[in-house]
Amino acid sequence: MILPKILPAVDILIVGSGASGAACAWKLSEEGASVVLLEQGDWFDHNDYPGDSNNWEIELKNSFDFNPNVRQLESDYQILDEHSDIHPLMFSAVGGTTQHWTAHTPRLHPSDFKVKTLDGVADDWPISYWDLENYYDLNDVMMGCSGINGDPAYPPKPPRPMPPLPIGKDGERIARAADRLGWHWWPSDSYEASVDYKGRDGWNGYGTYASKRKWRSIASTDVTYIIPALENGLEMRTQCAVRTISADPNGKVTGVTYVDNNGAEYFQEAEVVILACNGIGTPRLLLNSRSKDWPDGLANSSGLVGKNLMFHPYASVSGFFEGDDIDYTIGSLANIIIVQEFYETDPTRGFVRGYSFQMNRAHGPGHTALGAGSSGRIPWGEDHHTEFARRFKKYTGMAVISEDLPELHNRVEIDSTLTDKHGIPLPKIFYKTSDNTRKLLDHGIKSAEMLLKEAGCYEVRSVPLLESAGWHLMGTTKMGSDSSNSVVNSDCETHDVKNLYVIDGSVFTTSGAVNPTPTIQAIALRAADIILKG
Amino acid sequence: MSKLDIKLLFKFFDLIIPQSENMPCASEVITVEDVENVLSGTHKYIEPLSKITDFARTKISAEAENELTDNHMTDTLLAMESTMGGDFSMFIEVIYLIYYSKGQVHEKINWDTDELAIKNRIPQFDDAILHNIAQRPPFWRQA
Repeated sequence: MILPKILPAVDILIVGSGASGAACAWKLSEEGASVVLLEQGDWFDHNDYPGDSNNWEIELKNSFDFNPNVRQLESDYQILDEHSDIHPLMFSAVGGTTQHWTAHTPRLHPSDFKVKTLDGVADDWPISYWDLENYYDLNDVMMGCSGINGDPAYPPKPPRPMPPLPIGKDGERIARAADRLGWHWWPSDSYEASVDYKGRDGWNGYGTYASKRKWRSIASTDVTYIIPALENGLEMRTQCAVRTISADPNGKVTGVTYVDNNGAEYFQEAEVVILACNGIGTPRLLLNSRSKDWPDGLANSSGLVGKNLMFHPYASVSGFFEGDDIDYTIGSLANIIIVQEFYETDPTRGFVRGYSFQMNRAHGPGHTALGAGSSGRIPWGEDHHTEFARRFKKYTGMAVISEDLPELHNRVEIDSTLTDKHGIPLPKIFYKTSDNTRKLLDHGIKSAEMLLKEAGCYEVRSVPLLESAGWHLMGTTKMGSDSSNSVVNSDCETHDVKNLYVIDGSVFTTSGAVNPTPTIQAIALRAADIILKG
Repeated sequence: MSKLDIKLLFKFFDLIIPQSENMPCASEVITVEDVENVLSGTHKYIEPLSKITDFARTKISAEAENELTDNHMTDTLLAMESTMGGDFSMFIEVIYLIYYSKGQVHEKINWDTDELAIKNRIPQFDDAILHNIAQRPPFWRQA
């Protein structure tokens, strides 16, 4: 057995350079801290994105599929998800999943942090919206938020750094329909630049999702946070996969063992270790860090590491328009309009908590033929061309994004035999949607059908649960005040291991019913401030 | 998969996407090399398409390959769809994705990929559309 090479101690070591790790690294480096950032993936060249080539829809189903199990890039690790209703999605590179996302960026609501108090379910977070408010604002500036303030569904926000993205003809139809129904709607906050912003190209109203990615109008943290952090002195090490975290017998973190792309193994000593590996990667790492002192995994005296996995189950509803073409293949995919009429608990509906709608678009003709959203695959055979003509450029969709309440049986475990290319045991997930979720999604489908018909759709189709929509990975190292019922405290430090922090979506006590990235990044920025204060 | 395997699959292509008055059939725009390129870019299609090929071989003897009727081929496709739905979906995915990546198809469906063309741009956001909703009082829940 070859022992890992021991590297000189560093002040702060962050594992993972995605949404949270990059934000935290920048904040720490901005204040002069000495930080090393380990990333299992490599730098991602945006010119490698399929962009505007004719093959781009093929690539989005293959080497740029959102699902790592399909993509199987060198940097991806497999997730054993055959026991899950939903397939998790993520991307491994500098910038993490912000390299391959739609950048829909609403905030949680104040009520999301107090669901036990307000609705008698799950647990309250030990922090509030107001604890994160300044960090949300800072993050909006750093990532570059397009939007417009005045949304009555939220507390007031500062002026958005950029104007809203265009909503298109389809967006206008949805907005006017919501007005007629007396429902809330608002142009989505989005970390996609509507105008040139901090060296990134603004989106000028043309092109598809793939081409916008290539131009970098969609924010990714390699650009927004890592590059400025490098200028501050951050040390970045790519293609370094962390195998285990170590702590001394007194319960203080000592460092991490990682393997580089050549197979060489190192032990990096550190005063502080911060985990930012997402809601599957972080519990995987903690559970893989079993030892004599930590037989159930590091920081796991509560038994909750890996438990309470939450996803935001999605349903999809598509509607077909007659007449003129709409802009459905141009522009944003899912960061267009948000509807939050049904966000809060209403006891008359028969379920607790609520949901948002995101308006969606398709990619292009290939995805149209394959039945993007819930439109259903276009039949093969003699009716193929007629049906394609009926749909192409003539439909839009609403995604129902539901609050997912934490449940212990939804969990991440470690497989006892299968490993990745470095020999690190793979994560295995177990997830079933709850009765409450089912009722909530069914209500959302009916509401979306009403909205689309009001918008003028002559036919509406739905899919009750999108299996390949596990974008949001939350809850697996729950934040709380009680060490017997949570893994990290309100400062994001683990209850069990001093100087070991978790700052990704794992710490979510509850999920809310909006995309989590701004909240993840606000938590990461706040944690950086706490760490800096010692 | 061998070229021979792919050529066998090609026999089904025009039943899946046939020719119409305005549109080309699948075999008119898809080449063997296109299929090979897609298969080389990902692992996910190889096993399903191999199974589809094996299934086709059980239904079609080599001697009869050149004398097949459309009815026989359609029956074979329907049998694939009903007995091996997941693999069949992958087969369809390959054909649809390649077909709709072709410039001559884009032209026929009026899919103008010229991203710089003014006609392909969405107009900038006009906040006049906020007139109604902006008058709604704040309704977020205090906590």
